[in-house]
Amino acid sequence: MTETESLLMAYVDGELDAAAAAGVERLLADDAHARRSVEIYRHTAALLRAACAEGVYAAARPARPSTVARLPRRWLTLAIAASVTALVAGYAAGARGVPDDFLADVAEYHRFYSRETIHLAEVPAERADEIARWLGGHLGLVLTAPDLSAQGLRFAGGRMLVSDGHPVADLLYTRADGLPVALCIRGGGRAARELTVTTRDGLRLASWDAGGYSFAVVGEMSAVEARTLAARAASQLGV
Amino acid sequence: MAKTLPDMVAGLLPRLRRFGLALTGSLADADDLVQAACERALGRAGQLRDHARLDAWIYGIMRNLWTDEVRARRVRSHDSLDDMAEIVGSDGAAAADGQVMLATVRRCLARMSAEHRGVLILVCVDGLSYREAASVLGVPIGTVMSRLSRARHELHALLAARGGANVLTITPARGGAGSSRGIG
Repeated sequence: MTETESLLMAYVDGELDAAAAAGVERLLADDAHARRSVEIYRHTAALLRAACAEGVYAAARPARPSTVARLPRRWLTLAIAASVTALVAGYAAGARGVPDDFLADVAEYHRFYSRETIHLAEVPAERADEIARWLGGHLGLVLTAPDLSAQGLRFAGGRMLVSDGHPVADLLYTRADGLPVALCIRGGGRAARELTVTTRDGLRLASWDAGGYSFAVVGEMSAVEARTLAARAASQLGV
Repeated sequence: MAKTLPDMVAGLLPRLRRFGLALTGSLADADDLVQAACERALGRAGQLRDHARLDAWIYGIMRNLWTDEVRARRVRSHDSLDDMAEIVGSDGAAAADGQVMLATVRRCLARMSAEHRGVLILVCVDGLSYREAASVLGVPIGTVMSRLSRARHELHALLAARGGANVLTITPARGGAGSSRGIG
């Protein structure tokens, strides 16, 4: 592993201080190979987070007996085995009733990513076909980013987020005044719900559910602006 | 009201199983390992200094127990990971949920070595720092980094081999069977 590769991976994983991170960003500006490496490190991490969500492991049942069970169980007392098994079963049962935290996740991700300048999006707007296939593929949709230029927003690209074990398509828009705004779409099969506008930690969220998908427009903006953007996006998405 | 340690441990169970599966390759062994580690953790609560990283502390206990177990019975590591495949789920169910790609990622992960799986889960999924992962795994930070870089490139290559040259383009929405709809 070369020193540059170490630096690039550490940069993606947030292990560098500000000065070192700035050095990597200068390198990325004119090194396509380095940009490709960063893309691989980012993308593998994002995929793993999505694929290995906790929910996948909460309820799974073993396919075959423990190999430990065939040998003296020197690790275990039956009492602790029973109590932890009960905890596992209890967790699995409880997980089904957990309230949808889609909006909390969307707000948290947006607070984080909207400060990004160079790396706002994982896949830039110029690669719209790839966004349609890649992000849309995760959601089982053919996805075209709505045109919100009439509202002063310029489509910058997309990235994948994860919420409650489901992949989320995060379509990012920049604007002349203020931080970026995002349109987030997630599967999950929730029942249809009318557009509502809420505020969470200074971010406005206009959200609705339709066709088994959850939608949210998020950013620092007025309630009227959020509602307008959501309505415009919904009408272009046909939902 | 402050949570008790058993409550906090119970909340970590899915994550502990995930790391246990990465270490052992078997969900049944992972459950035994989690149980043993929880027992030990609850009995040694006094040694825990930082509750915020309770997961890393128990991961370390799991890794120690598994190392001892492997050494004691010269267990062969599970090469064909039935349970990891089990957790992948059927393609039919996954497609309906729009999660085909994620199932593919889990399938690729199942084909990797326990060393690579472990470091990927700790850093990429659990978000441990390199230092924390090094402490859990009992190896130097440099080893964590080189292992992590190799593991990511391996995963990338496995995904590319399954779907084409560019991992970023291997997830076309599936046509037919109503699993793909156009919007926009």
